[in-house]
Amino acid sequence: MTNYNIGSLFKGMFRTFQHLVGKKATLEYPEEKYIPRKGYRGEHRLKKDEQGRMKCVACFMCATACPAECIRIVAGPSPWPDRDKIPVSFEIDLLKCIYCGMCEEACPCDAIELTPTFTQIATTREEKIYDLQKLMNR
Amino acid sequence: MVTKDVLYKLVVFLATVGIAVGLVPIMTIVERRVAAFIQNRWGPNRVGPWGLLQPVADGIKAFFKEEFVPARADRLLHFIAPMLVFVPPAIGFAVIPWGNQIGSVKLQAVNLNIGVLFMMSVLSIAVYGLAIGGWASNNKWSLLGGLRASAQLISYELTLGLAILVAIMMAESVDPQVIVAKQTRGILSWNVFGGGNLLALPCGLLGILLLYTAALAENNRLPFDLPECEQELVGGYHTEYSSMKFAMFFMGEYVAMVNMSAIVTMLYLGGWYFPGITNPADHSWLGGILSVGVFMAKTFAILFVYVWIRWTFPRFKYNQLMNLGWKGLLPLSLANVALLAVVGVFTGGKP
Amino acid sequence: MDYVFLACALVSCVASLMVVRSRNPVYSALALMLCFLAFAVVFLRLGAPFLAAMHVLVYTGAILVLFLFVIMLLNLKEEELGREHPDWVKGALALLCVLLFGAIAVPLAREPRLRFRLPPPDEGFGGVEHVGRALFHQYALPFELVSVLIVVAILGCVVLAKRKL
Repeated sequence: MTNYNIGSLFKGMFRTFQHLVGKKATLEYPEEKYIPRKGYRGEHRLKKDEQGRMKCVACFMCATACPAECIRIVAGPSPWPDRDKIPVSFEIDLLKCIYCGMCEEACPCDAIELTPTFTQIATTREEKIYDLQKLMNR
Repeated sequence: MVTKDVLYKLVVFLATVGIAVGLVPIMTIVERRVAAFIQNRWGPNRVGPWGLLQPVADGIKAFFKEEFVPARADRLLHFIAPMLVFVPPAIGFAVIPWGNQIGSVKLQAVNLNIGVLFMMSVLSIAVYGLAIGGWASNNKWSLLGGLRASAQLISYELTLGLAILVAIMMAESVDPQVIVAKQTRGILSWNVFGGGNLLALPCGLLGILLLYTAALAENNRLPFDLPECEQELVGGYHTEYSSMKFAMFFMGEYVAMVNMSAIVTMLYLGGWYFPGITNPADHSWLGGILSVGVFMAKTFAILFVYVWIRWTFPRFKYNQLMNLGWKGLLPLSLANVALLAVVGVFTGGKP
Repeated sequence: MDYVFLACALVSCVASLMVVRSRNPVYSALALMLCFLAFAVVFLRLGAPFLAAMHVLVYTGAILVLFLFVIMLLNLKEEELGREHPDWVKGALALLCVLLFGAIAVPLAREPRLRFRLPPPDEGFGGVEHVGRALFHQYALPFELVSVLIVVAILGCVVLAKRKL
C-alpha cells in the first residue's frame, strides 16, 4: 500500500521555498562581470620596470619550462648596459597555452605574469598569437 | 434596446472574460520566474521591466511560427481540438462571483442557481479536446497521450466532484452567490474551517486537500502531468501542434488552472470575503473593488501554490496515479462526505 | 413560437443523422455529444436545470468520453469498418422508421386525454432541492432499488472481466 506521508511533502515545499527567496547563483553577464580570485591564471603579460623598460632579458627559461611549447623568443643585443640581451620578438600562442603558470615560476627576473583576463576574443587563429607589443601593453 | 442594466451586465461579462484570460499571460511569466527562483536562477528578465513583457514576446513568436498539420491527419478535428480545450474553462468562469456587488450589480457574469453543477458539467467537456487532439494528429504517441489524459481526467473527476460536494453540503446550496454569502460570517465560517461548525473542521481541511489534489490532476499539472512525457510519449497529445494551435492548448491549460483556483477560492476560502477588509453589506465602489482585490489575491495565492508544487515534487508513474486516484483519494473523499453527513445530522442538520 | 426549442431540435436532429451517417466512429461520437448538448438546452428550457446539468455531466462528460475512449483505442482502419449496406436497404429502413414514428405519434396527437395544459410548476421546480426531495422522500424505495441494480451490474462486470478472482 502507498505510504501517505504528507509531512514530508510540506518539508519538501519548505525547502523549495527557501530556494525561492534565497540567493541566486546566476551571474547576469554583460552587466555583472565575474572577477576571478587572486592568483587566477589567465592570459599573459610582460612586466616593465620603474623606468618603463621591459624586464625580460631573453633568457629562454620560460620557453624551456613551457610544457606546451607555446612561447617563441628571438633574442637580440640589449641597448642598456645592465643586461646582455632583450627579446626582439616574443610570441605566445594562446591556443596552445594550457595556462599552467610554469613560465611565471621559471622566470628569474619576474618579467612574465599571468593576468586574470580570460575573456579576450579573436576571430582568427593568428590573432590569438600574442606578440611582444601586445604582451607589453596590458 | 440598450438599458443601463444591460450595459452593466456587458461590462461585468467582459471583465469576467478579461480576468479568466488576462491571468494567463501573467501566470506564464510567474511560472517561469518562480521556476527559475526555486532553481536559484533569475529566469526571463530581459523583455521589459523585470521581464514582464515576456508573455507578449512569447505570443508574437507563437504567432509567426509555421502552422503545421501532419499528413493524413484529420484536418477538421485537428483544428477544433485546441478550441475544445480552451473554451470550456473560459465558459466555466462565467458563474464564479469574483466580487461583492457594486450598487445593484453583482460581480458575476451569469447568476445561475445551479452554478456549481454548471461549472462541473462544462469542465467535463474539456476532456474532448485532449482526446480529439491526440486522435486527430495521426500519431500514435499523440493518441496515447490523449488517452492517458482522458483516463486521468475521468478518474479524478470523481474525487473532484465529491470534494465539491462537501462544500455544497456545508453551504446547503449549489448557487455560487449563496455559497459565498454563507462564508461571510467571519473567518471560521469559511468552508475550509467547517463552514461555521467546528466539528466539521476536519471535513473542511480534508475537503480542500482532496479538491486541490484532484484539481492538480484535472489540469494535468505536476506531479500528475502524465499526458506529456518526453521518454514515452514525446510531447503527449499536442506533439503535432505548432504555432497558435499549440498556444491555444497551452492557454487552455492555464485558463483551466485559473478557473480551478477560482473554484477553490469560491468553495472553500470564502470567495471575495476577508474579515476586516470586505464587508458583505458594503455595496459601494470602494468595497466592490476591495472585494475583487481580495478574490484575486486568494486566487493568485492558489495559483502560486500550483507553481510551487510543480517545482517541488517528482512526478508519479501512471499506475501510481491510478492507484492514488481510485484506491486512495476516492475512498477518502467518500469517507469525508459520509463523515460530514454524520456531523451534520448529529449537530442538528444546519451547521 | 419557441425559437430556442426549434434551434435545439434542429441541431439534435442533424446531429443524430450525423451519428448514423458518419463512416468514422469518432465523428459519430462527437455528433452524439452535440446532440446531448442540444438535449441539455431543451431540459433547461423546460425548467429542469438540475437534469440539464446532470445530463451534460454524466452523459457528455463521462459516458460518451468512455465511448470515445474505446473507439480511439480500437482506432479502426477504413477496411475494418465493414461494408456499407446498399442504398435501397438504407432507404427502406429509414422509411420503416418514419412509419413507426408516425404509428406512435399520430394516435398520440389524436388522443383527447392528452389535450390539457400542464399547471404551472411550483417555485424552484426542477432545482436541486426539489429533485433531491422527490428522490429521497417520495421515490426513496425505487431510488435505492436502482442503486442495488447498479451494484449488481458492477458485480457482473467484475465477474466477466476477471475470471480468476
